[in-house]
Amino acid sequence: MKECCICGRKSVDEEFCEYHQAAHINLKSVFEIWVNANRGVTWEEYIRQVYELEETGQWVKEIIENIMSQNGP
Amino acid sequence: MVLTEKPSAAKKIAAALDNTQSPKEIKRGKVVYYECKKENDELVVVYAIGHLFELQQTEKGWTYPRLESKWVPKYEVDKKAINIKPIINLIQKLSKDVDGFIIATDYDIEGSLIGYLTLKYACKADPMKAHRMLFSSLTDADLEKAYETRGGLDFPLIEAGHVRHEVDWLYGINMTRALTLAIKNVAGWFKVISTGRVQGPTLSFIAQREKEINLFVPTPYWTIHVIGDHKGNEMELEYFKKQLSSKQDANRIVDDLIGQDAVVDVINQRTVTQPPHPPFNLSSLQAEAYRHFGFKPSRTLAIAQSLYLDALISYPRTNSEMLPSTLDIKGILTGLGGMKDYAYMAKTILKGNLVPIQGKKTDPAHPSIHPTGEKPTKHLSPSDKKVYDLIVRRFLSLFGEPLIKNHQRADIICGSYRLYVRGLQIVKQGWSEFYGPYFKAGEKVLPNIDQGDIVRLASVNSENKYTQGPARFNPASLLKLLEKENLGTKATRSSIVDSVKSRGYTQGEKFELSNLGFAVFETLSQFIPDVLSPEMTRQLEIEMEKIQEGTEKRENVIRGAKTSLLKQLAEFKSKEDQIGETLVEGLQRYWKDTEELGPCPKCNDGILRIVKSPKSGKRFVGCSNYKGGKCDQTFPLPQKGTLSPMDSTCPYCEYRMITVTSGKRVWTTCINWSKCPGRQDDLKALDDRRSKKKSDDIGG
Repeated sequence: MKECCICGRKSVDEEFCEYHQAAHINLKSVFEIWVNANRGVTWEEYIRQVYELEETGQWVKEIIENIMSQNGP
Repeated sequence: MVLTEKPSAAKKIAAALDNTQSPKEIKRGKVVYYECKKENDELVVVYAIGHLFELQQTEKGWTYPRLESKWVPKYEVDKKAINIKPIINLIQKLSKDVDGFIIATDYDIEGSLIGYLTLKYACKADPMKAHRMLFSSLTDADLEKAYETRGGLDFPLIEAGHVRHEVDWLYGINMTRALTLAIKNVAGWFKVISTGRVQGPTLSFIAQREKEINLFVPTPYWTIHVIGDHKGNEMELEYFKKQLSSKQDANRIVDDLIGQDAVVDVINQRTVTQPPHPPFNLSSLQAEAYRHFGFKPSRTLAIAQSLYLDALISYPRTNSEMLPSTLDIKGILTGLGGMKDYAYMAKTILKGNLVPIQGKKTDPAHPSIHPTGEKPTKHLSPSDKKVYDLIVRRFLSLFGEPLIKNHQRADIICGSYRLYVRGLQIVKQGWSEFYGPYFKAGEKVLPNIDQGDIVRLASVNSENKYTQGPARFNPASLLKLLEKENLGTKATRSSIVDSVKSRGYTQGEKFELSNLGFAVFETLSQFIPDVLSPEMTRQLEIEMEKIQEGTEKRENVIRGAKTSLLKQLAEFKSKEDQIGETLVEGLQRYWKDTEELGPCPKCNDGILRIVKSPKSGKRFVGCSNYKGGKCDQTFPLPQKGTLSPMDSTCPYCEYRMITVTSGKRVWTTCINWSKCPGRQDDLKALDDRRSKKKSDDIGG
């Protein structure tokens, strides 16, 4: 059984558990709203800004940490 | 023999029924009872302390399924309930020499059941021959009337009480054992994991909300702020769209408006008439007390119960928002008129027509919560006073005239853009005058402008904001949801709200789901989702109502509950290993979050953990290598409050930080606080405070 690379729960897509997978999908789908709102925002800028916002959900923040750690500083 | 529910109620009832209002108090060890005379009847007034009898399983073994139970004295089930034994013994002894029994417990399902069980198992009396006093307040007049008009026992209500206890017992005991044993069989640990008929759906509501919060991604939006200048006077204007979803649009609007002249197009006024709020039932009282005083629902209930026992208010466990026409409103207002704080208001109301506003919700047993008009005979604590004042003012406000307010809006146009300026004016205070501090008017004067006036847009800015995620529940909002979903009863909801926290399923004032709560929720939703569904409990509440109406039989409901439980338990048993594993994983995550403090700095391969000394019961930080004798690293910890490990380290000594929450006080420190170079000043200040307190205590 594959484990979620973030929390160790059972993974549903070889990488993330159902919660982190849902957070990943949410993060990707909201990017379009940010692009429409703020033309020129890049994916990197978007995730950095979302990460810094207090309102951002914990699982979303964990996904961003995971993405950032893969991409390097 | 008059059987009452609590010692204070016994005293009050004995005094109210006695011809001279001075019953004889007789002590038997630590228990007392009262002898009084009502006309020619000689009465013995005794008390219970809530339930004296509880259900106990009749089959042996701490396992499941266990479906059969019997009523036994509470001390046989709960070893801490030793104070119950002398009470049962006294009632048993006295009951041998009496001619008849009157139940004078609270008039609700639980009160009726308490009276019935005491009568049946302590007095060994025939319930068919017993009488029942029905009252909604403990005033002398109500109690005397209840004595004069006493009737037979309300058996459908008692049957409904039986059903609730039996079904709660069946689900609570079997599901809790199933979950606990699933962990024990997988990991060998004995950690009690509880759930129940109402607790499961409550946990589900909290978990669903937590999921939404954890998945939330904020989106940006912009608001426009405009300051207008009208003949040298500044005014704040609203842009007609509250939110703009694009930065470009916001910038364009700012550029188009700044420095422009706008014209007052039209000024509209809307008059709104607002009738008084309905009378309090328990839920609305709890919500309002939380809003104004920050009291948890259980605290408000405890205060209201104590005010009821002092005969200052009517019975608080009510759903009703109605005051019956038979209520002596004039008498209550006259009583309140004798109290300094309410004299003027009560006298004003007494001059008018005494018809209160009514709400929609009803309760077959009790009216809405209202003051009795009796003066407090003892000093009320500040908290009691607050709740009492809220209840009295709400009652007084019911007789007030409607509040009339004018909402005004001036529309100001600049090209194709529209701006607003608003005003709110209270024209007639009406009932809000009586509700006083609990009504917030929010008045705002509309600037002195006329149609056609020019307003120069002196300052125009845009502000970037972000959408907010869903809010966590607070005690009042969770209680409201339970009421809306018809889960639990007015009497049990606040303890259910408390229980999810006390079992460690949530943390903090705002019901943040803990890893343990999540683990239990995940397991139940994956393997036995019915336990989380409000449907089963809602169905039972309907069946209980039918029992009360006499259209359903207790035996049928219990049989149905057992059949459905057995089915669920069989399904559980077949997946016990998987369930155990899921729970164990969740527990490990929970313990890691709440107890682990990172690697040990002394031995480097152990993990620091919060542990409790089995000898002294005191908690401290110890190394996981202590058991093998490899490391003796320890750190002392504060003994009071809840500890939560933080991710950060101390800026002075680099040891892990912890949060300590004790009551409303929350502070942070490092685990090395006793030796940390950065905390020596704090420690000295603490020592000084302690020494000062000691010398003050010695000095008297």
